[in-house]
Amino acid sequence: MSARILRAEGLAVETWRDARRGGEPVPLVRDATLELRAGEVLALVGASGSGKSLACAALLDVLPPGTRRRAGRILLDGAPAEPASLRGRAVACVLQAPRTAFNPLRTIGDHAGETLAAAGLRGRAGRASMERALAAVGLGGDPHLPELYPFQMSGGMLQRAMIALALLTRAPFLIADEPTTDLDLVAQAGILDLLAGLVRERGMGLLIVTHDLGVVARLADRVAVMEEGRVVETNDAASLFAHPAHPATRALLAAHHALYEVPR
Amino acid sequence: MTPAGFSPRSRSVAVAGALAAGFALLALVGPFIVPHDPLAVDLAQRFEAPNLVHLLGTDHLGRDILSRLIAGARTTLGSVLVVLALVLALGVSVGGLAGMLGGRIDAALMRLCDVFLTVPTFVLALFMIGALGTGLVNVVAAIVLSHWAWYARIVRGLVLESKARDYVLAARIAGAPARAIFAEHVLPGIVPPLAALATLDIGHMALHVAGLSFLGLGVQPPTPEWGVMINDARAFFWTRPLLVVWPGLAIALAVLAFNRLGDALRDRLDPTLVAGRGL
Amino acid sequence: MTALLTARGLGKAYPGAGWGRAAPRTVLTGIDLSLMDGECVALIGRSGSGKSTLSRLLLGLEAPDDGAVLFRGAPLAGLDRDGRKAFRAAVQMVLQDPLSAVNPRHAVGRILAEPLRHLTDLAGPARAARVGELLAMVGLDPALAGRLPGQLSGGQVQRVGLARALATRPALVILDEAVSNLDAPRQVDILDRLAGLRRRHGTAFLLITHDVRLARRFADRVVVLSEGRIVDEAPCRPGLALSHPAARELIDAVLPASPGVPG
Repeated sequence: MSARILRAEGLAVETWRDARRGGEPVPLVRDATLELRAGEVLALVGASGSGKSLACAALLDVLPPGTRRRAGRILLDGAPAEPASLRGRAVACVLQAPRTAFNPLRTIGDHAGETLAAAGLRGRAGRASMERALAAVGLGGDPHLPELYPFQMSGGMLQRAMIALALLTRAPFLIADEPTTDLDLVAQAGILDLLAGLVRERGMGLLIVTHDLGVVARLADRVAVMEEGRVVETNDAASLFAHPAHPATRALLAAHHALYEVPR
Repeated sequence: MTPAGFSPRSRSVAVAGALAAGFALLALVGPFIVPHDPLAVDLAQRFEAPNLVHLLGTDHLGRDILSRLIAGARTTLGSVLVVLALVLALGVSVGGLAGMLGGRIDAALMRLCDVFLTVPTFVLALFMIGALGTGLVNVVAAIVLSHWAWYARIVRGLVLESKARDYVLAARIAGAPARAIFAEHVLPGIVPPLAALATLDIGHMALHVAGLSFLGLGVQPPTPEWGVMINDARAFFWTRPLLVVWPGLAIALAVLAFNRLGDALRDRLDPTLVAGRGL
Repeated sequence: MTALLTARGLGKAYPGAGWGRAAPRTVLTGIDLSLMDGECVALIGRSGSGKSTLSRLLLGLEAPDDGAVLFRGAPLAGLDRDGRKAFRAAVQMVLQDPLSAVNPRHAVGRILAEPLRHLTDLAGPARAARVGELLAMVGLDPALAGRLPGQLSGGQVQRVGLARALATRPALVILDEAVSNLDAPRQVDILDRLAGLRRRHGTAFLLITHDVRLARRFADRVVVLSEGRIVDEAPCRPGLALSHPAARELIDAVLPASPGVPG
């Protein structure tokens, strides 16, 4: 049976290129704890540079060059797990810029084949599950879609294809880092509807990183707010919007609501 | 970047750099430090083995080999320098013009380049020497004519790439004329890769100069030049192999040194080629 | 009163992509648009609706296939050297990605001086003074003039881009998705700054965006672009009344302000 709770405890990330040159390492994420449950959407929000993407990268063990995880552990249903062993098995991920995440020289079908091979599915069974996954993300209408190259698809289609690849792994948890930032609002609304549907119908646990509280309002059950590398507030979405406790949360909410105002 | 002298990789670059600098220095001051007159014939002392007076021995006319090698550095590397300067000047002007102006001018200039690219260096050199006679100037001209188009194409590609950048668009919006855009935004970005390429080509072009001189088409005896020296020594290869080895070693070392340096420059300027290093 | 900038029947197509002779791809058709002095217009549309092409035509960076762009009544194609210079100084743009829009090798002071050198008659010392003034205008320390863009934060570079567009005291600034991809605090900060500039200097703005929230908050009038045509147009106040399906799609895509509340 698939896992129910993914928990990252006390994550800390720092720069280490400088440290090797004799400089002080700069802490980027400090003691961040996140708990993601199956069937629920956890939004990780914060201003640019608050460390939210790095916290996710640490969770997946895909930290960018020049940074390293200093502390923290990952628990899957309470049992310690290696982040690298979770990737593609218990946890799938969807990245911000779909165009750079695909190999431009390979078709969508090639990419799917790679993911399927990693999951041990080949031949007809593999093709069938690819078709199911593409249908699930709303790309099932076109039988020639697996033959398309990334440049032949719009940003919204590519992001759907990336989610389809994530579904192929059958991972119970999905981490999406700013999945709609590069899309226009109409494409964004489509992707968010799709993600909400996947959580509802498949009982997946979704961790979505975003700077847009509109995305949070649309999708999230619970929200964790980060500021300067720390998780400063975690609450269910409705309470957080109604009664923000931390000043960082209040600042984000104030700016968010200001966007909806129409000045006289 | 790791400090020089620590990893084997950076040590080889340091050695290559020292060698290249040494060759450049020889080319610069060679004629003033030669132990003997490189042209002085002394038939009484021909084919001397290396000794304290003639450190590398003497050739079939009794000339001091070390002196001829040192003086030859100036001929070979000096002509390569002239070739590179001309090739870069032509390449940057034509490639820059084609890339900046685009349209029909671009198409016409690139077809012109294609014509030059179809002619192999040695064939062109033979043709020019047949028409204009032997000599270093004609060899230099032949190498320039067969190489500039290659640089022009590369420069055009680099210009097109940097023209597509947002900051070039911003410069146009800021009212910068094409000339200023090229000088301030495009050129500074293409100088580093060109420098790396040119360094890589020094060895290649030295081979051309030496090769054409070896064939008797370029530098004429008795002028000291590495290729000429190998040609001179050819007749005595079975009896006095060292005569071929010394200039051959000089060419090989120069080519290796400049290639390694060019590689290092390219790596340093294009970090994507060496992902993962320094992390 | 003559409009500041007018598009009259603009059309643009690009050659087809790929091998052989693919049919040209029409990007814009029959665009008519007038921008008055001091007016603030939002041009909204989805990705691929032709917004960016239209902004390039309005800036005279590309020539239209059909129609003409008129600057204070005079067609851009017919401007002489001085006319073109005056047009460039009067119509400026802030690009979408602030960091890629500045040359990483140039210090901030040089970036801001570029339009001053090419489009104004200011001498060296006056230019330096103006650079300081511009930095202060967007809320940056004038001491930053000596820094390279890589030494600044994303928000600071964004403001440098804005300061550059304001350098020549333009009558119109086009913002091509320049606000869309920022986080909310930065969006509000930039929009408030722009509103302040508008009050003080009477600058007109053309805000190009796919986000109806930004359009509603900032503009007087919204123009909707869909598949290369202007399909709808309405004033923002008292309420934004757009009816075309393409406009409704954009409005419906606005995310809710709070959980459980429709947008």
